[in-house]
Amino acid sequence: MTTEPIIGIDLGTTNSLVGVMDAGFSVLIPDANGQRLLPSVVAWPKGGSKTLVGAEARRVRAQTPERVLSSVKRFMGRRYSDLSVAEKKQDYQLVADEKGMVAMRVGELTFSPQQVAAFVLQELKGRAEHYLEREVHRAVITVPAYFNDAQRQATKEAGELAGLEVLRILSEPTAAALAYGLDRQETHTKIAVYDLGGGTFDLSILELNEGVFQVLATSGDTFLGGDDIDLALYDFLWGQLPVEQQLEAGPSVRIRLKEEAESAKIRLSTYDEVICEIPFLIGSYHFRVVLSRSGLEELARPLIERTRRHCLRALQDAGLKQEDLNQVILVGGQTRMPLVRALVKEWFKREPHVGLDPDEAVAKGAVMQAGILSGAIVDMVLLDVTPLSLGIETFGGLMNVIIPRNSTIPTKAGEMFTNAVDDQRSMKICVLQGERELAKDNWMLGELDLEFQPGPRSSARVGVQFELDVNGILHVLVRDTATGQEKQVEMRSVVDVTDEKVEQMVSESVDHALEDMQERRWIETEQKAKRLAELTRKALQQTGAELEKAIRLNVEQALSHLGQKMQHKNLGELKQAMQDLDQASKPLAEHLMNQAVEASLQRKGLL
Amino acid sequence: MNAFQIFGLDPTPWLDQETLRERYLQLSSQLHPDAATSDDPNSFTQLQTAYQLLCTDRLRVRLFLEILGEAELPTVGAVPSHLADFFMKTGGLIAAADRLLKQRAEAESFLEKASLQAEALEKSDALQNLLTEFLSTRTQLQGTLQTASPKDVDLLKTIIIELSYLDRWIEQVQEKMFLLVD
Repeated sequence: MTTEPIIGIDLGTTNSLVGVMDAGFSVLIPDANGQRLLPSVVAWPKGGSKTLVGAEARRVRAQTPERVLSSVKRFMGRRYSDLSVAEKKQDYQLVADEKGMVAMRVGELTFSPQQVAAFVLQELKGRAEHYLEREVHRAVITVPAYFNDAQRQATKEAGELAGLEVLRILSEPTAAALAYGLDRQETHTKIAVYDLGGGTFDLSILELNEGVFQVLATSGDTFLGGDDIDLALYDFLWGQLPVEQQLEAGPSVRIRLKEEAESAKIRLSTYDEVICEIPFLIGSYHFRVVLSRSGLEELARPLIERTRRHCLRALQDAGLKQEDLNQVILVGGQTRMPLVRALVKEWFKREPHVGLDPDEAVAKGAVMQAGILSGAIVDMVLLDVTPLSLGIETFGGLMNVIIPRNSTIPTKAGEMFTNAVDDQRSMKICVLQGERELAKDNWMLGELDLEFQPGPRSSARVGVQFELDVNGILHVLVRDTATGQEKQVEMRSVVDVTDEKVEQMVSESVDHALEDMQERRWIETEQKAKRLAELTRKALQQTGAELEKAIRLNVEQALSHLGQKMQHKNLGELKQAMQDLDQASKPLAEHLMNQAVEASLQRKGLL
Repeated sequence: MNAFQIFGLDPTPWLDQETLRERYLQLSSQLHPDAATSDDPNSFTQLQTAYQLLCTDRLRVRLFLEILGEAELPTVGAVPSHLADFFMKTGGLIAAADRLLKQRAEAESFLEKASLQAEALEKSDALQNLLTEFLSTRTQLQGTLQTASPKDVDLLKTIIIELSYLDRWIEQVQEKMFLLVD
């Protein structure tokens, strides 16, 4: 081979892989130990100046969890103020950089998620260079299909930091489809790719034709994956610790429990029951809990159910019904879980295809795309789409869509702007990505300043062209039609200071009217308590004799307890009583849910 | 070049979607930036815009009338009287769904969420029924369009208006159905 090779990289939340086309085949490259999966973990052990990457880094996690960075893909291209409370709870320290973006602190050092990812990419690059015995400078890197512009940009940046020219940012489910369908030579085959990885979920629908693979629609959630199931199981295991042990537990105990949770989850895909055992977890305390698959499923089900709406939306957007699909393909490590397979089967009314290696399919597809770009694979193109609608904020705070979601990329769209008053010199445009009606609910990509030639109202004409390139990354071109001047503009990123302001406002009002606040909180809580009591009484009436006696008794007791607490003005006690009632009525709630589902099935004549 | 010309087709109000799609796939594989045969970087995006236009019945008919030189193209005005029933139903259901979504966002207790779930399922089912009605009405309209004479400008205009409403309602109903799934 004379031309320089292009490598394909799957940069995953949990694990990453690299591969290259070799003699017409897509080959994934192992490390010296024969491992193809590289854990996406980077560590800086105390005292040492060395950076550890992969399995080595993961190994030191139990000793110094605060110096080991994992799952950083979750934070790529995100603002600190957008993180949820749960997301901020990491074993390492998260901070906001000067632009308000998420960064990680390890001792004295601060890293952006891109920098951390670059260490992983560098390791993969080195692996490929060792295998090929030559330097590598160009790569295709995959991202979740539902990544927005900022997340894609950040991924590209990570590649550049690692010394790679990123020729293509490729959607993961699209890559998997390539790995599935390239050799099949089928035509008019419609498939759905259900991709549930460590940190993200995507559902893409494609039509495979000889020579052209076209993504028809995609939907997803970039903050939902196997990690969340691990966390739910960890919370459960933590709850099994006696209180006195919980009080003594340090960070390393939490890490060991987390690792146990992950391993138990994996084992429960094969076995119906496993034992979680950690000898000497805290001093002489041995941890031992028996877990059943159904127990895990109870914890995981609500999380997996959250993927259903995306399956529905992608089908809607593609204008298809379940029965129009020829195949449903499972990708991502989490799809090994029997519950995931069962639910996918139920939703799509067919047995999913499990023939692809869920860990490796995406990387294989990335290598194939690299092959298309290098000319090793001919007569094949991929038509991908933008997952999110692109728009601008209109007067009144609404979002005006300019490029709708699921448009094939690359794509372009233009808008014309004019001056609203005489001699207006400039105008600010806010560019957004998302599906919500209100501008403020969408992701703000940045702001643009348009300059007008002075003149009477409506005389200026400035055209703005939005281009989503083949990577799904936005470029903006501004053209003054009067002067014919054209220029590519950079958008200003919008630093979110509102959080700080709000906090300040709140603390001020507390200073001024502390008593007022307390009174208001009591009234609010009391109203909530009244509503809850009312609702519970109604539910008890509705379910009548069908409910188990013990459960009914339990609920009634908690209800009367709440009634008592409403007489005394103690906020904490009232809240506790509400929580108790909430817990006690959980079986009642489940009963109501089942009734609702039955009623719906009856309406449809299915029961 | 207009959309018909890009596809090398004579302007017609009706197009066979299968033929159109075959042509689209063929042109895409030639014009995509990754394909070696493409030289003009704009040709691919123009193809996409043209395809979207020709795929969508109301947009295609509108373009057809434009090419015919029809000066007065329909603006979407009052709801056609025989669609008024749909209009009321859609509005009512969507308002109810919005109310429910708001309540659900504020719900804190298990019980509250569970009791809202029953209503959510009920609304979803009602929306699904409405959607089915919309889709079959659209299929009927497409049938009318297929057999309509290209010279019957008034009929074509009526079809554009009715399809505009149906397309919008279908989109709104689908969006609410998506949000109601929990």
